[in-house]
Amino acid sequence: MDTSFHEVAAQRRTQDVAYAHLSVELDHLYMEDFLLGRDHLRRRIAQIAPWYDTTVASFQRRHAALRSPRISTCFLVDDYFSDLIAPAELVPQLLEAAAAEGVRIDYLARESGCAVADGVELARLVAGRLVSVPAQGTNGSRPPTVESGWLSNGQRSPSEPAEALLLHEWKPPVEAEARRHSIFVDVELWDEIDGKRTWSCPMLAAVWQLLRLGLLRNQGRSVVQPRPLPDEMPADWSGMPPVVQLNPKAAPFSGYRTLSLLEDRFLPIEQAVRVILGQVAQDPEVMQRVEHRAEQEGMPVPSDVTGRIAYVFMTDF
Amino acid sequence: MRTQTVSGYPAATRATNAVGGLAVAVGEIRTGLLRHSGSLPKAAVAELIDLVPGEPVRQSERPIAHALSADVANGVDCLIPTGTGSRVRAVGTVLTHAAVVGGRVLQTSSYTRIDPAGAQRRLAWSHYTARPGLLETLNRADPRDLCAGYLAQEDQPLDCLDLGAISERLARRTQASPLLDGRQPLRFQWTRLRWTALYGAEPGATDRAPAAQFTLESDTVRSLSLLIPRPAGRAPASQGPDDLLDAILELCRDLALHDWVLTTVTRRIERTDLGAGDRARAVEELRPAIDHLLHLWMPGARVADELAAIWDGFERRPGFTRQWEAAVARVRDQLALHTLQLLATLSMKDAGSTTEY
Repeated sequence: MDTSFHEVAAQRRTQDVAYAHLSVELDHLYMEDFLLGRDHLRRRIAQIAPWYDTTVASFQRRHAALRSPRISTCFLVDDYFSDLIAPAELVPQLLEAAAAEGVRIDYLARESGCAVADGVELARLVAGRLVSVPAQGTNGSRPPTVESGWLSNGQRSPSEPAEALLLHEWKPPVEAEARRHSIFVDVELWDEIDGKRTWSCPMLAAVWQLLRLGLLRNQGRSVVQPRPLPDEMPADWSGMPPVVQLNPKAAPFSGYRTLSLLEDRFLPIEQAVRVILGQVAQDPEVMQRVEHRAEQEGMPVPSDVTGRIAYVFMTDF
Repeated sequence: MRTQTVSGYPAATRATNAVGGLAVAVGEIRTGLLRHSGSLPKAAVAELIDLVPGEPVRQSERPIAHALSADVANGVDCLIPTGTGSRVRAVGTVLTHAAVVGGRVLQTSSYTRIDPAGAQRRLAWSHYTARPGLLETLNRADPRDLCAGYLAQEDQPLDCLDLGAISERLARRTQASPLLDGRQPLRFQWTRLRWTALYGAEPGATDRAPAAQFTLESDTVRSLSLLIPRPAGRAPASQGPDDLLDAILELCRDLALHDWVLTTVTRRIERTDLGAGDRARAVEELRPAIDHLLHLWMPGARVADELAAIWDGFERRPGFTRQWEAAVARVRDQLALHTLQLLATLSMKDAGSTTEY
């Protein structure tokens, strides 16, 4: 006789998500940019188009084995730090400018959705998986030095009371992966005022990258499901779905790789994003499945997450 | 030594496991009783060991309430000892989880796999966070030598990998939780089980039986050395080496749990000094053990079929259950004798009183 017994609560199930080959982010605008008028918006979108064509051509040449690569495009609206313009006003402006310049936006996301999406605190999920880069000699015997709300790419200068500083020489901070000389980066992940936590822009951008790479799960389930644009636009951004699917025929929102076309003012933010992403302990099962599927499709991905992220920093020249 | 940042691109093609096919894992488990006067309810247990946001605490009810937390990762870059006395530098992350059995016993367990292929240099940290629970040595090392070195750790200098400290920190933090009432129901000692496992397919090796060695190193320290060969091709495709590692972790926790329960109950009996007269006092002293521990004995209940032979082997020698049954019989005898004594006292009282019907 063959018997079997299972308890559902004792198992962990991991939900799969669909992947495009590449997820392309089409610039990032602050709310203030939208206040500068329609012409400004047109100029910004016009700047994206040639870079998009160039990078897609380059991607296709690099992955010539893929007969028809699935590429989805997305646009992130910064509604977390200010929500000056209501969706009903902003979305038509953006779509109009994109259509006029021949730029296809498949998905529209709001940045506040990287903090909380459909009741799930995505930023907290990522913060809970941070494993800080160890200095040589770290053997587990002492707790990791954690400054609440900060994450660095190495070891900070020793901090001592002010009077002690007078007696001791200053010691420099050290980048863990320095090539002889350090470029030490310390990233603020959040601040808290009156008990209310505000996530920093790099932290939300790190969540944004993980979302686009399809690597985030909550209790094993995928965290964001793109939804169509609401028939009636809500008065404020919190009423919008975290990710709106504008193009019904779009390739999946998440991609095996991501490419971000950004203005060069975002360079320091993206460096901070990479400091964060390098220290997120990934879900081994999700990683294994993504690597397996990408491999099967003939587009193997680097095993570490930062290797899957590409950029073009667009300079006005 | 400085390290270099490299693009992680070619890394996917690197073998993730082992020289010669056998994977190496090492770990250390702390076992003790929750600082709580009764059995902690299921929901409170889930909250107590909710260590990673968004990751479930896995709970089961049969044959005994059992809860297992998600793994928390810690980064290390340190030396690990080898059996030949040399030491090898390794970089990566180790994982730690907590388990609560029967709402009463707390186990904190840290472990890691070791890839001894020798990466030559420390890689970008994102390389290590992409595969939590794996250390990579910088110089090539021999898997058996790593296991021997890890178990001989007492003799090693302090700067080597210290999984025990990580387990202990989680135990302390858990015990300080406001979910617990802080009342320790009985006196006991924490035990430490340090284990190593060589497991998986070994190309060229003929069908070998699993082997295990359990050693009582001291009053509170135990060591377990496991060899779990799995003939290539026998396991279903869905079962990678990690499924086997999960089963090994379960076996180690199960052995640590039963060793701790047995140790705690037998020490209690020894201390109670059953031969010496005052039976009411003896029963009173044994009571916490009866209330809190006796029902926990379910050897091998959670162990995978593939590893059941190891429990069976330990049941033959030294015979955990044999010793357990003897201990339980002594406790029950005390209870029976005490009950008889009480009944005798009662019936004497009855006989002394003249009641007419």
